[in-house]
Amino acid sequence: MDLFLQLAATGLVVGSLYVLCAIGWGLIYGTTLHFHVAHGAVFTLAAYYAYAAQKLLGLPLAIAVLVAICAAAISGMLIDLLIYQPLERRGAIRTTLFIASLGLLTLIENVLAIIFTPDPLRMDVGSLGDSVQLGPVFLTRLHLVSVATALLGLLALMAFLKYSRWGQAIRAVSSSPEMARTVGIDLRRVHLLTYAVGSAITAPAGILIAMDVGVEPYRGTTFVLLASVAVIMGGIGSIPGAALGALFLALLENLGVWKIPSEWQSTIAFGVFLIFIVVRPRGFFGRKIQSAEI
Amino acid sequence: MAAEPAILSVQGVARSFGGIQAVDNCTFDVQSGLITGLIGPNGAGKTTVFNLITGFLSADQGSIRLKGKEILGLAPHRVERLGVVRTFQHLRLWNKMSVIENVLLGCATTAGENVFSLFLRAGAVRAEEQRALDRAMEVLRFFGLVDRAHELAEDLAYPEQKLLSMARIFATDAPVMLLDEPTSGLDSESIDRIVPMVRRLVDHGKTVLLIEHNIELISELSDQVVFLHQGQVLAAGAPAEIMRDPALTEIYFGV
Repeated sequence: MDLFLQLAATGLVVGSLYVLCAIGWGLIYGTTLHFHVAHGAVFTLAAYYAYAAQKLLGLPLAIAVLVAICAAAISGMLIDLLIYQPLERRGAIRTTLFIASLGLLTLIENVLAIIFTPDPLRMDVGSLGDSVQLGPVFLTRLHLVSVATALLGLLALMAFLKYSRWGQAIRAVSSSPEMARTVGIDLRRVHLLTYAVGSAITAPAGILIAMDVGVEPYRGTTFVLLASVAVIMGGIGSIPGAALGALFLALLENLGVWKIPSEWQSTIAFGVFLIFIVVRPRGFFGRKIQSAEI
Repeated sequence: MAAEPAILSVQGVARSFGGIQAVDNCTFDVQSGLITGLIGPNGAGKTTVFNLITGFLSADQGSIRLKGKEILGLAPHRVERLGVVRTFQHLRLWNKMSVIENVLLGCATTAGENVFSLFLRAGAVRAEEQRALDRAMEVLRFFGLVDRAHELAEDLAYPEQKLLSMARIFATDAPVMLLDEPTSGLDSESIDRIVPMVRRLVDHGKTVLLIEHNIELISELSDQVVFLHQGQVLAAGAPAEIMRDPALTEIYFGV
């Protein structure tokens, strides 16, 4: 039973990182319909930004994290501005954007591997690395920070979408792009904003990994794949759905280890995903996919 | 009527899809402060004309001028800023948003437009939000939807959704409103509710271009009618004149 609780706690911690990645990716996909796998690169870049800001520029941890989040938001916007928007202006179909995105992901990962080597690089976290005992469960303070960050990030994003004018514009574009344009909403600006917000919300996940086990160039690919699975499970267009899907996947992976050897982790996740997509393609709370299509 | 320059002028516009000439050398004027009915049999190109005017489609040739200014080739949100808005035949409401939010998004604001002013000029943004909110309530009152303001758009009855689709473009302050079949799918009682509304739009200084299949309605509502057939304007004039022309009624009713 102790092992079960420990695995559940670990699942929750990993899940909080998946949540941050999935709600960022889900926001972008639900609004722009870009299958933005290069989001994985933004996630990894955020981690390297934070590492570089702390280790190379010598900034204090908190400042390094803030700088990295802003830099990640700008990176996401630049990808839209310099790659997707020019392609869309020339009438590229969504598959083209996906392939461009995939190419960019590979490119950034490999450039990062050249600059920083493929070895994990860990940030200094001071007392955040101290362990905490909660009953039979052992975690670090950093793990608790991860869970709190995910919770706060999720609530902040939902409040932003619900109450701010820009959030309303994002929801309007996500629900009916044509109508949004009809009342004078500039799609390209809303897309840029979506990339900024979606990248900024995912950045802490990468940074937390750099703080915990260290950043590697290729981890973003797994994360973005899991994020897309979580979003489709949760239902496209639903932020709480994406979070729920992400948490579900993480718990499944980690609790699965209780009875099944750990090398089966991703097989479990993707196996369940296959069942989902066949049996319930709309996910937990999703809208019909057609309604989002132009 | 001809002495006054048209607010919207469509000149020699053409658009084909593959081998099909959807709109061909289409020319007509829309006079300010009037209701112009765009009629014609199915497939005549009426909705394509709407898409061309509002920037959802690009034209192969021709010119569309709003108050003398070329708008053909502009993106839809630019066309809206210059003063032309539209509804869709399939309403495309923001179903998961409340009625007032649907209207609020149409209310023009400038301070909230710029992301940075959200942080730097929060006070100005808040004042403007309040003005937008007041404006949205006023629009809902005009359309008789005020007591539904906080319900989700998808929970409204269909005739009310039709009104909402008009309300949110009315809120943009654009002077030219293009209505794509505002009464389609409605029973006669609901039609009686919508029709005076279209009239009142004009009383509020709007110019209306309207696609409508109900001939009786068109005659009753429109000040002038443009008859479209196979993408071309066959005739334009007062509704009574158009309806009297046996050649046109034959095309329209296929008898």
